[in-house]
Amino acid sequence: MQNGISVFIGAVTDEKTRTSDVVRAIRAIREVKTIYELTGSLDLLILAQSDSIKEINNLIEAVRACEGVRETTTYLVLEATENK
Amino acid sequence: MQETLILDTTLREGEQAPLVHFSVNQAVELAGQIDHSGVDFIEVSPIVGEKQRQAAKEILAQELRATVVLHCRARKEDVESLLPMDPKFIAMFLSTSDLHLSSKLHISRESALSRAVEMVEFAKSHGLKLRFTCEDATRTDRAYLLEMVRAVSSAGADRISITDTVGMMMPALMFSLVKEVRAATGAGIDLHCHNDLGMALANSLAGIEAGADCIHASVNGAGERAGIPKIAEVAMALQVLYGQRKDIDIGALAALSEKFSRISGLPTDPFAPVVGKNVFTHKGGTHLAAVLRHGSSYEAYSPESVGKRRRLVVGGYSGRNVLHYLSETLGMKMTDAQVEKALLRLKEKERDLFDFAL
Repeated sequence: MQNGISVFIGAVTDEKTRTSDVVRAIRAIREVKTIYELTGSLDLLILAQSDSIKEINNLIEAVRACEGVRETTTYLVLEATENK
Repeated sequence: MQETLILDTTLREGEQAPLVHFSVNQAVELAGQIDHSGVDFIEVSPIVGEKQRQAAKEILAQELRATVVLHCRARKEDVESLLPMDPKFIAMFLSTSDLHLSSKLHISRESALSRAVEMVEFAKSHGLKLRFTCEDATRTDRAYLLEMVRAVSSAGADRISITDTVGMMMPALMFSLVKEVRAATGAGIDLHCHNDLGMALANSLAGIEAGADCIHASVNGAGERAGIPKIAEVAMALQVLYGQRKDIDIGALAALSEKFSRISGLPTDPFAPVVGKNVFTHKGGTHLAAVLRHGSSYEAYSPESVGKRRRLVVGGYSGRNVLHYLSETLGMKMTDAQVEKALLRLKEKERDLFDFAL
């Protein structure tokens, strides 16, 4: 059993803001583990983990508050399977 | 009912548990933290060896708020060895059951009685306060036990300890025993109950209801064999069931439990009341639904009272309530159809996937 919650946050960014600046701002959030830059309907996919749902909720708000983030969608991880 | 006193004997009984050894520094540090929690007595055992003697000296020098009790046998050489430490309170023990008198001490009831009185008078002649412990009291002939209690009380014992040395009492029996002891002495009555049948806390509380006024306990219940009552559960039971000892910092006792585990290498039982990892963790679907509405639905006391947080387990036992809760709290806006699909996938797993703190 995994301790804590993992979520993916999909983000669409503002075309006027440099993606690297958005990534830099999101990296400052402690619970964020990995930021993927994507093509397609999502610009960023952010993996975040925390022991507490309150902290997860706060970090989602923090991502939304980053300059250049236009909208987000959250996906809860039920289980992760590594292919070793 | 008067406020019940608590004696912590982690540094004496606790160190008698297999694998438990405290360095002098660890013992001194533990004593300081135990004192900080608000207990009334801290028991140490300087007669065991030089390390324990040094620890006792340093603990005495700390001038703790709690009374430091130096534990020894009811023997003149033991009491004399404690005198240079300038103790204020000692505890001397002597077996009283026929089994112990015949097979361990090889003395008669009469000899034990005269030795007990002589040792109490000797300690009192040096101005000491003292507790006299009737070891194996609960297996002692009742009339003889009461005779011993009256004799050592008359000799000046300030407190009498009734010990359930092998943990074979039941609450109703403990109640009737302590009632008789209470009638036989004006001294304070301690209860030292072992946990061989899991009855130590219940027996201790029964004794308190019958007129005893002090419970012996240790961090994580450490002691010989199955140990004794866990100090955190004693304090919480007094607070929750009797409305007593609100001054005890149970959060500090929970921290002590973790420290004890680190020092000893003995992990805390996840099901241990108050301090166990699982105590505030909920899993069943109906439990989660209720706890999300009212935390107290399935809790005897709040996690905040222990400095912990409530946790929920998500997996095969979950219902749709927890999924709706996660969806709403995280702003996921899952449709009912998506919740039903997620629920089917959880059920398919048939195990716990993750837990989280609220």
